[in-house]
Amino acid sequence: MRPRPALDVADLPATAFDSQAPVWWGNTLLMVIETVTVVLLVVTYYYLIQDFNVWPPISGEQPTPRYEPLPDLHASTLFVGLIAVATLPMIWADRACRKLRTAPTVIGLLLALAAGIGAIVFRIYEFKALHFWYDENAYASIVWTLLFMHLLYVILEVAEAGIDIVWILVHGLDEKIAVDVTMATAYWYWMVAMALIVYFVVYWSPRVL
Amino acid sequence: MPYPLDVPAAESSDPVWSEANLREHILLEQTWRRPPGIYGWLTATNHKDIGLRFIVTAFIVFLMAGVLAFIMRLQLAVPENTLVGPDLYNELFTVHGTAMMFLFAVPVMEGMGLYLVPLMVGTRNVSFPRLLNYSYYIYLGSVLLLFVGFFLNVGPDVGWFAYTPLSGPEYSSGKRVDLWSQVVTLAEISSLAGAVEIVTTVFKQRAPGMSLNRIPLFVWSQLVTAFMIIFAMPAVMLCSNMLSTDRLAHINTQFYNPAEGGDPLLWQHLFWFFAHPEVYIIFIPATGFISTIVETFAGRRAFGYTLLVLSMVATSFIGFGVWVHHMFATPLPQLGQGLFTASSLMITIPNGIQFFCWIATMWGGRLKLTLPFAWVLSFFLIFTIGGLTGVMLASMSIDQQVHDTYFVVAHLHYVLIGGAIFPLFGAFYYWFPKWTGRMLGAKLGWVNLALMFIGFNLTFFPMHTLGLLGMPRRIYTYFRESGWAERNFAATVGAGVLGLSVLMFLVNVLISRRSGLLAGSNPWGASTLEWATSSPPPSYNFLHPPMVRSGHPLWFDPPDTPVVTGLALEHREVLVTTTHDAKPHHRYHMASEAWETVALAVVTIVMIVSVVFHSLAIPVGLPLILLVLAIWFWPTKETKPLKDPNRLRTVPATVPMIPDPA
Repeated sequence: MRPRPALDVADLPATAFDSQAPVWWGNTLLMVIETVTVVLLVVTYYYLIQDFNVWPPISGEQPTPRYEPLPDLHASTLFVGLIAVATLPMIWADRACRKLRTAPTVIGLLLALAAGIGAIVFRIYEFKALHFWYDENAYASIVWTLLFMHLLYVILEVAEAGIDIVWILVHGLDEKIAVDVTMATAYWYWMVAMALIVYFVVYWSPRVL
Repeated sequence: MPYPLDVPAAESSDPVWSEANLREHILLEQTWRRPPGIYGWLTATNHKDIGLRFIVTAFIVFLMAGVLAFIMRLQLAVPENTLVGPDLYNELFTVHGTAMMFLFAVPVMEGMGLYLVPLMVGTRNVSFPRLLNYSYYIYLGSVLLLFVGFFLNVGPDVGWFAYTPLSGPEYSSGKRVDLWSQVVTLAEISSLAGAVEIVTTVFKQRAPGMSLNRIPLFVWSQLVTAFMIIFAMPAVMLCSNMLSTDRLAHINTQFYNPAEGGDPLLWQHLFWFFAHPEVYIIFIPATGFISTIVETFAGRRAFGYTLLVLSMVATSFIGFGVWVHHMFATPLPQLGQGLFTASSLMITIPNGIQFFCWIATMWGGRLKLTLPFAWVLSFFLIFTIGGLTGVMLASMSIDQQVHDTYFVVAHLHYVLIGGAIFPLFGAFYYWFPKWTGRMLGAKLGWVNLALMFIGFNLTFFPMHTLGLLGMPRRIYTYFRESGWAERNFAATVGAGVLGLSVLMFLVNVLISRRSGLLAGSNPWGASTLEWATSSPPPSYNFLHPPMVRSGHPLWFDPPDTPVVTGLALEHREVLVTTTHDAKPHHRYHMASEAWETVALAVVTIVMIVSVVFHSLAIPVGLPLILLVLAIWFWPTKETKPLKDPNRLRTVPATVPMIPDPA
């Protein structure tokens, strides 16, 4: 086989956004893996219903049995509302970073970061608002697991946004870190979508189904 | 250009190098080879290094799990034997099954993919080299955890599928099952990472011109398998973690505990939702070997390329809809019984199509009976038998009769050894020259094949009738009056022959590595791109990444193969192409070796194992993991800007083009 130079790629760009970038595929496939995990947790939630007479089950661990066993809505609604609204600054940061505009990118990321940290605090209150400890019964275990898994996703996103902000402030915004910011944005969309699913399953499906 | 059916005589594919090429070779080698010493060995990120490590480690697991199987066969050789007691016997079959399914079959197939896919698509490395390094150590941790646990007498003893409630805290005290579930978690993290590598590499790093309809069939098989891993493995990670948290006194969830509304059958659903696709995760790469080997030795492109690809895709989809046939002995609604019988039978359709495509390929070709091809021919016979018993077991009514008997043991070994091990050995003989530069010895090879064929059938064929006679699985001995003695003795003799055959293979590898015939770059006259570079390939794979015009570039593309130039010489750069049509899109700078990957693997393994022993494992381990991840992902400023117009690159304008004698 004799090589014949036929295609010079020296002048092609060195970075790319979205589905042209390998890292976009890595990010997306990891989100697919976690989506499968969340879906299986949701399936587990509904599968377990068949073993209970009342769903959600009446909690016996309270000083008096809790006959109104639905988990409270306040903290969870604030949690979902906050990260859903924080999608806006993330979209802003995403658009700005593609044009290499530093200030709006950093401000957008900072707003989202603050929202993420706020959401983590709300999630801690959410666990309290459930009125049961995770080892009480199978229902309690699956609800806690759903919320805990999603909490891990939020913590990861907060860490990623934090690293992006520090890096941009230290080294300045270039195309490579801009790709990272778009990854964080895609992950944020996914995190909100998962939050909505978990919110519906845990808080609304026992009320409306 | 219409494809000719007959292949022209193989061109010499040894590269012709000018002085400028030699300079490029030296620079590329400096850029792409791993750093020297132990640091470089530990942090290696080259897909060939790591791919071979997966293959070799998995093969060692295969040997150890095989020894455990042989001990079981010795115990069952005669009735009322006392070589092994019931407790150890439980451990033997559990560790054997766990090792073979989780730590041999999947990793060895992924290792083959990690080695071969970048070469076959014409790129320099997989997309995420550091993740590759991480995934190997996680896998190694899993292997060590299982076998060290076994030797320290904390090996699992509840079967490779660890059914609850038997595996729950009430019936399995101690740490055996806890460690097993961490083995599974680690193994699947590693497999998932490998799957992400393969999908991204196939979608984004194919040689220009290699549109989706020109991808080699082996690469398709790896792609389909990687997607199956992505959709199946989360299920087993989830259910084994739920088992862990149920069992651990400091966590104590109630997922599978019926007293608190949990459900033992939930385990079976989640486990088999993973474990049936697992069978295809093992089998589909093997079909990739078969397609490749049949094409090469029939000397023609595969009949029904599109059908073969669609069959793999169809198998993967249907594979997710049959898991309940493993649960026919549990209370199921009648509609469910019918539905899962039908879906299980349906999977024969795409597999039948693949068989007929292979037969048609051979029918229309000029066959060369070489060793790799002979292994594939053995596959046809053995897998057909396994497939037929599979059709029987897919039927609820028959399954009820033979459930948990040796009939199932016979079936699953015919399917897995016939469907995966025979093609895998064929693949070893086929690609060994690429890995080492030397051919595997033919004489020992034929003895290896003959003994494997005889030994395998002698071991597992009698198990069909043993099962029909009623011998249950997982019993450590049986009474003399049962009438099972002769067949069991035959099976043990067969297992000995099988072991001898594997020994022959090992001897062959050891001899051939040192003194085997020199292979050259393309000893079989094959058509795919891994044969377009030297054997073994240099660290950077191709001096100039190739462009392709057909699905079989070494057969049908003209000898003056067009190549890509302009990629960097002094840092690791590859060409990224578009997903469908593989049009050049941008240059992609790859990460190099880093200690963080090894550190992260160690922290991950220590945390996952410590969960079993202490409640602080996660609160301490998670922040540590985040810390190492942050250091790992801290983006580095390029020392030499990627856009520098004066950067060194392949065939710069000042170097004359290689003259074309034609």
